[in-house]
Amino acid sequence: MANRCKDLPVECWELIFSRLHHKSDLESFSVVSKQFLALTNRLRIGLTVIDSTLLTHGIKHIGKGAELPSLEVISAAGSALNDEGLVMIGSRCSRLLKLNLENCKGVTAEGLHAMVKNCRSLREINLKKCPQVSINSLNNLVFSSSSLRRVIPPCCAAFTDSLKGFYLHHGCRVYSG
Amino acid sequence: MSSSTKFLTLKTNDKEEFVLDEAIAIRSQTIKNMVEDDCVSNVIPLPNVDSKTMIKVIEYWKKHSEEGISKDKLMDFDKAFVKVDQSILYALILAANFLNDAEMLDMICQEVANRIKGKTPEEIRKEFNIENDFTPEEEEEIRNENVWAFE
Repeated sequence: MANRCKDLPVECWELIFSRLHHKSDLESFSVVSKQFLALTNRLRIGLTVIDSTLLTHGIKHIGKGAELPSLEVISAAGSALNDEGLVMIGSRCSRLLKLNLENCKGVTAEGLHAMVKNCRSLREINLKKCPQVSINSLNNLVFSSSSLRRVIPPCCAAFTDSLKGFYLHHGCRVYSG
Repeated sequence: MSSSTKFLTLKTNDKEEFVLDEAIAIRSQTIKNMVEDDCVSNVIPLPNVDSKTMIKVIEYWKKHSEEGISKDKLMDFDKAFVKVDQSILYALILAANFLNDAEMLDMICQEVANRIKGKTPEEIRKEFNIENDFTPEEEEEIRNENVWAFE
C-alpha cells in the first residue's frame, strides 16, 4: 500500500503539481518537504526577479548545486540584477531561452559575456535602457553567440540599417522593444 | 464465429483473482497492450495492485463502461469515488499509473491537487502524512526565496 508521499513516483507528483496554478499553492507545496522543493524546482520554467539579492541568494540555494533544467524564461526588468547575478544565471540555467534585463542599471558587458558563454540556447535578450551596455559590447555579444535570434538593444537611435543588416546576417533580428 | 464476451482473469499482488469482461479490462492501456501482443495467458498478474484497490478500480471501470449513462451521473459518481482517505488515493494513483489508465489517473491527480489548493505547508503535511525534513533555518530560507520564485 502506498501510505506515504514518498511511495508515489515522481511523474505522478508532477501530474498533481501541474494542476496547481496559484502562486500561493506553489509556495506552500515547495515548503512542505525536500522532495517537494526539488519537484517544484525541476518544473519551474520561468521566474521574475523583483529583488536581485534574493535572486543571487536564491539561485545559489535552489536545487542545492543542481541545475534548473526547466528554467527557460527570466524576467529581471527594472531590478538591481548585476554581473554577479548574470554569472549565477549562466552557471545554473543552461537551458535559458529568454532573458529580460530592461532597465537593469547594474548589468555590464562582462556579466553578459559570462552568461552567454554558458546559456547556449539563449534566443532572446532585452537590454533596453541598460546604460552600461554599449553598442560595441552588444556587437561582440551577438557575434559570439550563435543562438541569439532577437535582441532589443540598450538604445535604438544608434542603430543604423547597415548594422541591423549585419546582425541579420548573424541570424539575429533587432527590435525596438 | 461466436461473438461471445471474452473474459480475462486479473490477479492482484495479494493473490486475489478478478474475472472481468475484456472490453472493460482494456480500459487499462497496459492490459490492452498485453492482449494485443497476444501475451495474455490465463491469468494476468498485477504485481503493483492489491485487491482492495482493484475493487475500486473495477467499480470505476464498470461505471464508466455503462451504456447510455448520463454525463451528470458519471460526474456524481466520480465525485463520490474520490471522497476517500489519502492513503487510498495514493494507492489508486499507483494503480492507475501502473495500469496506464490516463482518464482515471487524471481525475485522481486533480483531486489531490484540489486538496492541496489553498492550504498552508503545515496543512498539506498533515493531510498527506508528510514528514517535514527541513531545519527551521532552511524552511525560513525557502520561504524568503519564494517571494520571487513563483511570481
